Amino acid sequence: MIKNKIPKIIYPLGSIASLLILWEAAIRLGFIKSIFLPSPSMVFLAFLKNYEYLISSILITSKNIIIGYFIGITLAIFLGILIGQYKKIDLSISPILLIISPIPIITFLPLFILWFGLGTTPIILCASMGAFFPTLLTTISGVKKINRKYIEVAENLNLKKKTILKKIVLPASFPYITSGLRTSIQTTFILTPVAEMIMGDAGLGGFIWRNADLFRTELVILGQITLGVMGLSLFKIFDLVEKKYLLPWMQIKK
Amino acid sequence: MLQVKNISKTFNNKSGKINVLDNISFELNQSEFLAILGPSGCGKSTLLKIISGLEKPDSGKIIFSHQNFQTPIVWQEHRLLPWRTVKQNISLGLETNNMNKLEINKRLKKYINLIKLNGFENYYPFQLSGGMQQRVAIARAMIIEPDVLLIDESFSSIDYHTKMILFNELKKIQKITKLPIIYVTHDTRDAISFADQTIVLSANPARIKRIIDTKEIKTFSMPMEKEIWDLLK
Repeated sequence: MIKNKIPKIIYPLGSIASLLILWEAAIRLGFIKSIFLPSPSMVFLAFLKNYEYLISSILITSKNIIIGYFIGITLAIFLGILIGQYKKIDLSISPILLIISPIPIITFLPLFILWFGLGTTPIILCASMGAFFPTLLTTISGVKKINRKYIEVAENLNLKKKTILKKIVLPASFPYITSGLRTSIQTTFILTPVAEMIMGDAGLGGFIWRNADLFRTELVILGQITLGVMGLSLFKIFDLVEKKYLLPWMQIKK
Repeated sequence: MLQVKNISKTFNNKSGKINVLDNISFELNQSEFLAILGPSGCGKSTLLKIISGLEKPDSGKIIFSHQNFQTPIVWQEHRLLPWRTVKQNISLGLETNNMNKLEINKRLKKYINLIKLNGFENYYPFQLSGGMQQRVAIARAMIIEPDVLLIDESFSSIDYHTKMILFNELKKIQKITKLPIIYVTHDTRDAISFADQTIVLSANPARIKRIIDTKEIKTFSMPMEKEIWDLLK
């Protein structure tokens, strides 16, 4: 038993430590020029020197992601329920969405910049489009696949149409919607830094792009690592929220 | 208090028209336990849906003794909402008419006591046995204080012992509330042992073969069962 208490955690820690040591050594021993790939210690020093700049960039990117995500998913769930529930809305709106959805979202950025200027609005719009489509598609299919029997129960108890949408259709399609919500996080998380890089002067995307221009590769890598940590925490937070609030009844089932 | 008058219903499907219900008429009185007995698939459930307004008859009408007549169905499968707890499932029917929380909780307490669900308020449906699930379904129908309770073979998948307990409790509740009950079934024994009146339906299309007074027969009666069996054939 004592044998089992020490290991396991040793393996990932060990591999990460060896990678860092190899990386550091490769640069110190001159195999790779630090301007192309800075050593971990240089990245760490850069962090200490620039953390205020980094944090302000993190805040901007987080704001863009959060606002974009919530605008996107709110619209998606709302529209998804209408399309899934009402045949006529489905027939009239779905073809339009079918034409727009395959267009790479990032190509809308130039138009958004023309329309709304160089602020954060174009970035947020791209982010929310990224969040919109995955959640929309799963919401539609969730609503369409809803068990008619639940709706009959509600009609039999004389619930109003609006109440049925809110209290039966929405929760019944939640298992589908949440899978869309998860994909939406991923797409928003990809699109936001890309849009920021193109804008050149905003958030972590801008942070990376500008420092690459100045050959400050240690800051480029610092920005990347930061995005990695942010992404990981986002997914973990989503897991927690899902477990706790979104699908408690499914969790217990497992 | 409820009159079913000359109800007929035909369904259209690929192979043509299927006549399901043919000229069904009967009356239901206060505190009455009425069984509608018929072979499987004869249109009994359709009749319940028509009484509750979920389906429209082709001809005939349902006459209620007053407006806003409440006709909840206890379904064959429990149809509890899996994402809601027992308590939340029961209160579903109250969430439409701006009833305040206090009144909802009062009613919840009353019906959870009446239908003996104490201690299970916060369970999810899948955590309950079949009998308990149907209890919750009964409570969900009762809490809106309906004018009639429609039961659609809801106890057919429950073991005999539990079924007897549920029936007896329903009868007790009926004594207190005077609530008339229509119980649809294909099980002659259920009808004989618990109903005051039993309407025997034929199959394809369902017509009323006979209305039998089953009030006095409180124990299982072999000749009676045989007689009804012969009718069903």
